[in-house]
Amino acid sequence: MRYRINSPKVIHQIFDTEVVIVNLESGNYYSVGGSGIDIWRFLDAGKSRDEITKVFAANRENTAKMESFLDEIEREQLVVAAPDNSAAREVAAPKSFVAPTIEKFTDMRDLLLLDPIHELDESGWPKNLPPVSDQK
Amino acid sequence: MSAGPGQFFDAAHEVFLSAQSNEQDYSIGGLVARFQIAGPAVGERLTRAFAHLQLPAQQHVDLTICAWDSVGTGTKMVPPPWTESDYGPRGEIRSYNNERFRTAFDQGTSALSMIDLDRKLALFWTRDAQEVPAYESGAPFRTILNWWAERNDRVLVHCGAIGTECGAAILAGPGGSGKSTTALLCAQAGWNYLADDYCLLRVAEPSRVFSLYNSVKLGHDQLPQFNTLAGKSTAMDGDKHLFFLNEIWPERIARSLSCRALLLPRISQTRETSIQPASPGEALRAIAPSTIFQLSGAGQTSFQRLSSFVERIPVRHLNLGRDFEKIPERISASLSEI
Repeated sequence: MRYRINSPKVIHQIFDTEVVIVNLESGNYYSVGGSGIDIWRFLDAGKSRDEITKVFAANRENTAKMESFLDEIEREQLVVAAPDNSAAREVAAPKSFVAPTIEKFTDMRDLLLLDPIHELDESGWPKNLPPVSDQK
Repeated sequence: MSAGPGQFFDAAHEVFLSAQSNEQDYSIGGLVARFQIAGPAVGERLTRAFAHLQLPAQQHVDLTICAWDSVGTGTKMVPPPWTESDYGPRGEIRSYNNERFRTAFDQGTSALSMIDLDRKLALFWTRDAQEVPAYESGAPFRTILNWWAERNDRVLVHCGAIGTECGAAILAGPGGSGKSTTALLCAQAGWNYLADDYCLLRVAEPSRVFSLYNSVKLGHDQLPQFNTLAGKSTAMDGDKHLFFLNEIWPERIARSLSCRALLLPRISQTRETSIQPASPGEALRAIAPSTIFQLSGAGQTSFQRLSSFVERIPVRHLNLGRDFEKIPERISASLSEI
């Protein structure tokens, strides 16, 4: 199975020690560490799940941790299925395997307007939210 | 939908032009913005935060913002050509945002913001400016300035900024992390003040931070730390007092400074303030999500610029101790070591 990063909904930045990922639709953001950084790099290059598994399949424990990480980022909709014929770029092989980590932050969700606007005035503009002075 | 963004923009602009307005030029992010204001309460409530950036009338203008309210001008706003289902999660109006136009309605402020990037012309309309909440008075036109900044190699950032002759320390972190307290403690100690909540950043080298608003918000329980501000609060935003520092310490307000360091304040349980290295990833998490999710239209471009910024600037955790008076001294020592 091949994935692609769920852009433009998902944006990311890869650093040496962390990948920072933001889901613009849900308001959640993430910090990926350990070999999750390499796995994300591979996914960004268009590598398939099988190709990534082969790179890290030194032992069963590694494979299980990697599979679990891939399941989680798929569940969080950070990656989505891509056509199996998409071309992948070459990526340097990682030196070692460190259990992938992913930390999820949800503190920005309140800033999104999750409730739809449903009250309009007679001219069609949304009604004021009472009391206005307490809103932020 | 009957009218596209261009037609709606022109119709709304016609409404503004039917009202009597006055104008004032400002230095925003090192460029020139002209505010055309109609309605007494609009001028009173939405320009005070920019007072430190006033310019004499300029020949060349990079952005014109037409701001008005219906109650103060006695005008009738054209109805929106979109429906309830077109409002996005950050107030953006679906189908009214493209390369040229950006459109958003902020329900908290009950205000429409729209920009024609090609004409460098923006509209800000609200029903009644008397009802504009205090937080909007402290940081007006954020949405418009964010769109415009993006087009002009700048980024509107959720952060504080203070500085010395060494340059500016950018303060990034969520609400309650100590940005405002730190900024105000440094201003009280005689430092240059640029921002406690939002500023403009030019990321390209040499990176520079620009003050946008001379306002600062302070929780009621923090007031005893700042005796010099007693009785000078102009409004309340929830339980926070709003101050305009240009009216209190005009000589301490800086329009812009070069960027020296990015500090990530957090409240510690120790007496002494300490500073320790932080990673670019920690810095990006502190500065990018709160910037992106607070500002309609902010996304990939802001994120990329901030990513580039955190990779190039020294980043430190600022562990704020209980001995507040020592905080500016500790930051100053750190800035001079960087």
